[in-house]
Amino acid sequence: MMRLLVALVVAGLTFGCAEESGPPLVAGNVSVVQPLPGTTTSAAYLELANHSRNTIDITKVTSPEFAAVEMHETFIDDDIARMRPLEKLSIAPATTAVFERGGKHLMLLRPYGTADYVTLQFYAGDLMLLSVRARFESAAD
Amino acid sequence: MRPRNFLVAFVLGIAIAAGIWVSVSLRGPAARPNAATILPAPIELPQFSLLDQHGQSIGKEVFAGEWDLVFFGFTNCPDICPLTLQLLSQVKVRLAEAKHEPLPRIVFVSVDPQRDTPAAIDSYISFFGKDHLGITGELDELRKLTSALGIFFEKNDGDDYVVDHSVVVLVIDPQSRMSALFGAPHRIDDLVHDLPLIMARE
Repeated sequence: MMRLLVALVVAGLTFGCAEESGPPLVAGNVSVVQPLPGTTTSAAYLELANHSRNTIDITKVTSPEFAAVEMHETFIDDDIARMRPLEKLSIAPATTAVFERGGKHLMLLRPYGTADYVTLQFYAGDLMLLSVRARFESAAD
Repeated sequence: MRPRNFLVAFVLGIAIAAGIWVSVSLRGPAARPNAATILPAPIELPQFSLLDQHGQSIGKEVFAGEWDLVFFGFTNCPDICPLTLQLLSQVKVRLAEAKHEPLPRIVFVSVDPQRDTPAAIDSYISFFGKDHLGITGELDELRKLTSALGIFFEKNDGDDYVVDHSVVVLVIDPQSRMSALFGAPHRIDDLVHDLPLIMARE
């Protein structure tokens, strides 16, 4: 009986921890807007799909092309826009977090120079889960 | 009343009623705005002293003789402000394509005068099209304008601060009066539909 119980626990752990084939976090519809003339900020929009069986907590985003990247969310209430930083973004298993105009977005601060491409690196704690490289788009697009 | 006179009065009454009905039917329903709030009494702009994007001193007279679409924001706003200015530029293009005259001017008023110098405003506003007007200046003077028009703004903390702000688009008439406003969310089709109605009321 004890052997059967141990076998079931081991099987359960193995099944529960198993990942689908492929990366746990996948980015799609990436759009990074070039900083507008006279400004030092920009925004990035994308979708992050969690293909794992565990909740993924994004706690930090960095970019070699920018001094800082912050996760933000815009709220419009009573015709007033308020933008607030997100300390953490939790993505439940088999769900997709959407960064979109007028909602959650990445705020890119103080570019180091001009570039055609930008790299975004997503972290859970100190572990980098995903690196995305995208071409800048003009804000007029 | 004799029967013949009664018949004449009856036919006359029917004819008048039919005439009124046909007249109303041909005129159609009164055009109503889709999204705009048209003020029953326009609000006169207060006197103020601010700077345009070229550093020139301006007052309420800068609005005289033009129809203006006015949006308050800040150039380091990564999301709502460029989105709205882009939308207003597209509205202007759509009105031009429809051969609507006069075309409204797009005015961007900074609620972040600490960072938004005239030069910064000039670079920023030029990106969205020519003939736009950018306004910045001293905070006290800015508050004269925003208070009179019910515009809210509040700077957040931090080095890379953001500014909470109203996102309404104000319509200023050629007499320098706020005559209408558009609340969020803004839709191009709504503005293209409503602006000619607002401007026709002058």
